[in-house]
Amino acid sequence: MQCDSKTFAKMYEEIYVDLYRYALCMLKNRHEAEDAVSEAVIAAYENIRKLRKENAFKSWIFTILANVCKKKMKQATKEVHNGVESMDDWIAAESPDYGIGTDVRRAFFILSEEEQMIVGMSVFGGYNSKEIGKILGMNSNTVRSRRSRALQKMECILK
Amino acid sequence: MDKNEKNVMDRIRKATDDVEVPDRLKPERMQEVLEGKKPKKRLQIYRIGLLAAACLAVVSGILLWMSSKEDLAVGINRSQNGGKEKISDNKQIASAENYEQIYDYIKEYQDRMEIQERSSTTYDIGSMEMESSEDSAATSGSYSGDYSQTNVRQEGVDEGDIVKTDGRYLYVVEDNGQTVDIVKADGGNLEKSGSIELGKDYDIREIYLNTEKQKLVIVCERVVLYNDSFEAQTDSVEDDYVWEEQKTVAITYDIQDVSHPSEEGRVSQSGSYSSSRMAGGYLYLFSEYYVGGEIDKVEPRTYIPLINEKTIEESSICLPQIAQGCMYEVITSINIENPDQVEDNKAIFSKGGQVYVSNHNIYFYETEWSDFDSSVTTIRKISYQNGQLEAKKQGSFKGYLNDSFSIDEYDGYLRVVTTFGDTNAVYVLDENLKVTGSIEDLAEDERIYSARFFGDTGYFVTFRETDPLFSVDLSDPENPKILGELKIPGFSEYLHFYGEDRLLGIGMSADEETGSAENVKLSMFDISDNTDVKEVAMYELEDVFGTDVSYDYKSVLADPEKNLIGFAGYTWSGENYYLFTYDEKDGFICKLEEEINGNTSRGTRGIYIQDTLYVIQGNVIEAYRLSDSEKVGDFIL
Repeated sequence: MQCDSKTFAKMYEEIYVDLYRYALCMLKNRHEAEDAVSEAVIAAYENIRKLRKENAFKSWIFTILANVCKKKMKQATKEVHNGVESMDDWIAAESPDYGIGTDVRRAFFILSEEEQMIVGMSVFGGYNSKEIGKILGMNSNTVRSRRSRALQKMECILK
Repeated sequence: MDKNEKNVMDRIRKATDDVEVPDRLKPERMQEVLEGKKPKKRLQIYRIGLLAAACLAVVSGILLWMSSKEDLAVGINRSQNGGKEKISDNKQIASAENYEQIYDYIKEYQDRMEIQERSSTTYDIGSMEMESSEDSAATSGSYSGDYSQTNVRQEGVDEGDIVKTDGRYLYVVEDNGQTVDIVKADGGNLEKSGSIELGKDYDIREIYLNTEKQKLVIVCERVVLYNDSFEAQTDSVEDDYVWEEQKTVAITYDIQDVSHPSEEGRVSQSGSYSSSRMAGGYLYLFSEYYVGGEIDKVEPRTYIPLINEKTIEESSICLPQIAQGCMYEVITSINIENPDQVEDNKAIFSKGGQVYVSNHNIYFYETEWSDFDSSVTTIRKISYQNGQLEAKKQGSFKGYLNDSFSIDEYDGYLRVVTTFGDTNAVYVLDENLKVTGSIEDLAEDERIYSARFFGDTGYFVTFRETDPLFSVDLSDPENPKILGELKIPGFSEYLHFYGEDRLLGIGMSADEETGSAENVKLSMFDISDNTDVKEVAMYELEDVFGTDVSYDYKSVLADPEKNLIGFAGYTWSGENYYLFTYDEKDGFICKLEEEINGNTSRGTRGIYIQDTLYVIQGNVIEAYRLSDSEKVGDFIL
């Protein structure tokens, strides 16, 4: 689609809070999340021609953001292993830079990658099990039971 | 979704409600930034699968992040591990005497969880690697005919995959997870010959092909709905069921007539799909059954796994070495000539582990993450000859395994390379899983990225800023010795023996100063002198920032005889398929680089049959002539 910065900003306005929260839950670091969203938005804008329909904007930009998060997580992994951030920094759970509460962070840790994705997309993407099923190539029943299991596990942590 | 689940979602949402979005991301500010940018003019093909691609990215993204999470988990658990009993404390595998005993185990666990919930400590996350990264591949597989086969961990032990071929037809799992198509390859003149369709409540995970017996086995997950008298519901009418359960199902088909595959039988077992293998005409099926709901002492099926709707016998259930548990690894063997029943079965209490299957034994390994430098991996050994499962021994070693390439059985001994705290180690264990020899404190501040064993020699890669490739002599089980250490920039995440004296590494290049990963790269090592391993060729793929190879060895096409190395890589503009050959003089030569036009979250496969390469992603098959890399056909399922 054709799109100028104003139109783009309008579409962006409706979802940017969710984008940031999603990035925060995936990256668990305020600055990293900020950079990720910013990077994703610029990439999205530059490639806006690839988007065919306006109503696919949200899932499209979520795609790009997920890609950016992926890259950043990869870097983070390497940095951790290289001692750039020491183990103690990670353990210091109260560190304000995580941007989200310890309990929610921990609740995400116990999930498998698939479960995280399902929960993340349910909560921040607002997708229902059918939509997630379509995205993940799973049937919606499976999505429902996985989500149910994931939420049960998280519940233990959040109590 | 029930009320409880909604509650948790609300809590997560609430927890992030007061998260303030940084000013820089506010729409007005963003618009200013964007005004300085211009949408790119270059028109690119719109990819059908944006959504799926998104999700694919999320999958791999989280996966990459998993490894850092493991570290975190280690940290988290520091607070609660004092004095806790461990699975690894015992050597024997005990069987249950009766269901009541098992009930008590689970009850104990559930009660304990409640206490933990109240005191808000976290619980063990166990070893959480992605299913596909759990096990690892072999040397050049068992080839018959001029076509590629699934890249497996252990030669002689077949593994399921999303695409298989018998040299004539391609058998492809569709992206919807409900259909397997049989497509005549015919040098690129692709044509659908038949298909198998399962219902909406199925999710096909992998398929097996037995060309000799002309059978196809579908391994899938199924959600089964039960009513309040424990009867499985055939129709998924939501009102009639009380709860739903995840099952792992193996369905065997006769495919003598590919246009009319006919079902010969099926086996269903409790739990979600964990892994599977096929050897000697038997399918070994692994599922993970989590006892999540309410348990009722007089109703064993609320806490005992089911096989074909019958509860597993108590004598088949291996108890944990500690007085609590909540999850089983259910293992069955199925003779594919007799596919509607199980030959044998076992269920092991676990907190989530992985499987390595040698030519004789199943090794189930799980890591108990604890204090930073005291993680322990417990291995349980179950022999499997001719479908008979026999629990043998239990053992343990310090540290955790990177993947199943880090564990290898040879000549009765089990060899492992582990990361332990901030160092690494090599252990050799005898038949009784007792450690006979070790090398500890290797490569401080690094961790293992990949490993491969060949006879008496092991190779493994650790990484910090450069990539030391270690070679280790294992010929004396009591006295393993480091032979050599080669330092080069970057690291290999996957190793594959590539013809005589050559070891192929697929990994990442890295910035030598910061150690941060940059592009995908290929390395060829000369291992003719294993005390002095050399990198004889290197190829960096500019702007390819990742590949599934690092965690999904089945995505690799590596065939030294045909001289082909193929895999998919991620670039900013999408996913491409790359095909290389290796030449002693000229090193790696990129033969093909093509955009992949399918979409799926299930991965990409490259398969060759004679002179044609088939790149399969989701429902799209694209065919290229190997001689000149010209596209000769495509097909949408």
